[in-house]
Amino acid sequence: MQVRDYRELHERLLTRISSVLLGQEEVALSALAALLSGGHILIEGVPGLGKTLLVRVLSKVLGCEFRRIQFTPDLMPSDVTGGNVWSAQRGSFDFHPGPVFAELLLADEINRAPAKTQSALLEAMQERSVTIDGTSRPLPKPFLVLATQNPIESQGTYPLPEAQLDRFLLKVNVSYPTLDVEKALLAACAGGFDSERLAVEAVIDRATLLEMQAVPETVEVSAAIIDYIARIVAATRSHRSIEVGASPRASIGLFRVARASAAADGRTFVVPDDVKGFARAVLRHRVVLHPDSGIEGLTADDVIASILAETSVPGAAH
Amino acid sequence: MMRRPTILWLALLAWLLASTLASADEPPDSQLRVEPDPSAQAEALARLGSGRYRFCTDEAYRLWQEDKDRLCGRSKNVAAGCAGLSAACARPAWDEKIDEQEASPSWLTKLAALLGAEGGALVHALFWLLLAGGAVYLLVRLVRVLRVSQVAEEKAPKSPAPAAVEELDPGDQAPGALLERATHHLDSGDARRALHFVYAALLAGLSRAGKVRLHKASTTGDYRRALRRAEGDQSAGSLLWELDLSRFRQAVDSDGARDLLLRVRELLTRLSPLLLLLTLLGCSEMARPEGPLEPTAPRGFGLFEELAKRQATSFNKRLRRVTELPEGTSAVVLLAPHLRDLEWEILQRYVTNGGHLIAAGHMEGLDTTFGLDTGDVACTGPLGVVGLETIAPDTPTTSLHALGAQASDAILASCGQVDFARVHVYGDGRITLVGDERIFDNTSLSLAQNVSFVMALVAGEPGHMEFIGPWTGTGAVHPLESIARSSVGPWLLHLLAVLTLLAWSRGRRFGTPQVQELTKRRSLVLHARALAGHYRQQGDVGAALARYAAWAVALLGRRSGSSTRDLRALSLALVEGRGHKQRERVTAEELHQILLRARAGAELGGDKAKLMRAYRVLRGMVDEVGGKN
Repeated sequence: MQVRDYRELHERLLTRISSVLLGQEEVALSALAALLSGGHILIEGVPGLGKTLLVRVLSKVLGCEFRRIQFTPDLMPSDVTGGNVWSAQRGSFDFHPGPVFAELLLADEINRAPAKTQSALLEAMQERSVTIDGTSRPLPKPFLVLATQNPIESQGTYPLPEAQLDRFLLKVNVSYPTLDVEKALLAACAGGFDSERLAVEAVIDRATLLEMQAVPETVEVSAAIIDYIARIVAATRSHRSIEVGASPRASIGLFRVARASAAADGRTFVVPDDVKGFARAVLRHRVVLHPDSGIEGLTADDVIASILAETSVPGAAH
Repeated sequence: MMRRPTILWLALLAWLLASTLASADEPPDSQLRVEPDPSAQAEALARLGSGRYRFCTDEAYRLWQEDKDRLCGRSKNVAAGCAGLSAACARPAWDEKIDEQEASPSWLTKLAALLGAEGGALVHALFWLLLAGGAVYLLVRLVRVLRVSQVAEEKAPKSPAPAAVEELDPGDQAPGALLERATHHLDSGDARRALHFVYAALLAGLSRAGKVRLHKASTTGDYRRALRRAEGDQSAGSLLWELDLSRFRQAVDSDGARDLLLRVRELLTRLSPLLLLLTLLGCSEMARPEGPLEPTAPRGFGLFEELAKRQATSFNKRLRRVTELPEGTSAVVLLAPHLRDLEWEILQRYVTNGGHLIAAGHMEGLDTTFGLDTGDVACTGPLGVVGLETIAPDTPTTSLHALGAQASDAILASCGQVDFARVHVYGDGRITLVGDERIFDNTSLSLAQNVSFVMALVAGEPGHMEFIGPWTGTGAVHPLESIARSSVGPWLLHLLAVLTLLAWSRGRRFGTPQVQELTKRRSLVLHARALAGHYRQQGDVGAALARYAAWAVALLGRRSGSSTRDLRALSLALVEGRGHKQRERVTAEELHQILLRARAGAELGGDKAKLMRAYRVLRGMVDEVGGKN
């Protein structure tokens, strides 16, 4: 597949998603960038903003098999990965695959399950396979996880540890829609839109998705851009407000997403805007702020914005 | 083919040899002929018309009053050399003479007159006494700050390595200059580098037109958004984006790069009406006054320097003192410098050993060093040079300083009945004496065949040429000299004295590192207040004070460099750093008691008034050391 074909398909995907999910173009763009880079995405937002709807729409337009896991405090690892069940008829254990054996998996409210269950999913995300009773079973290709979490409720939640947050390529914050968007939403509802009965046609299929995932790897990244990415990530390790900076996995993540962004624009090369545009989404969940900074009301986004404002862009700059 | 100045030099040499055989008492009876130098004339004309010498080409040029008085009386002659000067003579000068300043003396002058000599001496002495004391005090504090900073620096994490990518700074450079460089790189085959300069040129142009604000961390996307927000103009943003893409492409197309360069040039030309508007408002470069002694100003010597560099193998406009002359110096040109005795001695040795000194204008030391009597004869006549049409560099209303006659000298130019330029043999070398140094300035060189005459004056063996003038020795060797020359020394010293007095009276820990950032600790403050309110409700002032004291004592210990385990030592250290007034209010012993009481407030309890006083004293201490709550 050529970059121009990639771009065309990307535009069609975005248009289709935006036609259903109003006012969330940035979120849709980020989600596509993550998925087409082969990465997993963490979506955070208060209830009722369309996080689950986004994932359902994505699954439909991508033509992928979609499964959903609602994480609860009593969820067990085997509820995620599946397990061996004794079959009396056959006299042997049969493997019953869990919902993780899907192409697109929605892990709803991932922070509600205990650490043991989270680990089971996160191991699958990293290894792209599941080991049950000593037998390793590969997960389907593509395998993409979209996890959601609710930032406002802290009672009965198990926050994901930083080391495991790192496994998500992007973290996207979903915010309230603007007034105009809300009006458009209500108008759509008045026109008969029902989010429970989505009639969205697929734009691509599984095979095409795999082909699309291979295209960003052909995008060239110059030494100047690599230097820019490295400097941004390195700056998180020495910033006064950050206690733990981003790891090299963040550099690689930003590198991959920048390529996907360039390909989405029909280019075979990356420009600084591709990097700067996704730096927040890639880094916000990978840095740990000083407690003082947290008390003072600073967020990871604020700190990353200050890093981006202090990092010079390659080429003619200031 | 010999050059004309060389021919003249040989003729002069022959004449000098002949004159030494003749009687020394017989005055010379004829002037040497000076041949025109067409190549030097043409070169001068070309340089004057190049645009660098704005007084010649710029129709909007404005003169300084002194130049206007000198030049505009002879505007006909002047116009022949430089058209721009005619227009300048019709415009007002930059400066106006203000006579009122002399009639009304400043308040300082009046105060000095009031105090009289004795009062002035007393103030003088007090001033120096205070200065010395303040300097010692500041030195001690500075040493302490440096020690603290060194420790902090060692503890600070290392910053990331600087960018490995070369960055252009379009901020201070003109778009035109950047485009020229781009063209140069494009012609050299480096299209990628050329595109960087084109990009920088476009940014510089947009910045100067006020459409974008340059920042090192702004990407093309940021600039495009800014352009769209500003006026919805897409063309500049699109071109910027196209340039950015071209720069980062794997393969750069030279034709495409050239096309982009042309489009940027066109866009910048369209933007230039804005710049024209700024010009009319007096904000452009052309409306900026040119310093009267700038090398390209009418009184400057830039043109002579450029022409001399053609003639000599190397050329140096000397800024430092004349401590020695480089080997191979074939000529030294003196234009009324202020030299010291030692420097004159060096020049004397140079001439004695065969050097050629061209001394223009009257200067102290020349006569005494070389045993001359150059005199100071006024001359209002025309400048007479055999073989050339020359024009004097001054108006008829002021005089040229011509030279008194000297026997056995070769005459090169006359002014009426007296000499204007002559060559005098000295030791193995010679001195070319010129009546007025202004013959070398840009305006003079623009007149008639003055260029040929001046080049003939400095003609000689090919070699190094030193150019010494009023600029020689004006640079400072060390910072104190620089301050002394800039005349801001007294103001700095006064400021220092005031700061010293302030620090002594207030007793602040001068120079103690303060908190780097005043962050908004709103949440913490609210929490602390809520906690304090709770304690107040309980009536437990002692417990609240103990909580506060734990933090405050730790902070005081850090800032004073004293251990918090020994409260007595801490109290002493804190009191020592206070001003004399504060020391009277709270002594070290009292502070020690306060710290003990505060720390043990929860257990001791006691009189609320005493606890509140302890709190107030502690809070005051914390404020003093810079730990604002």
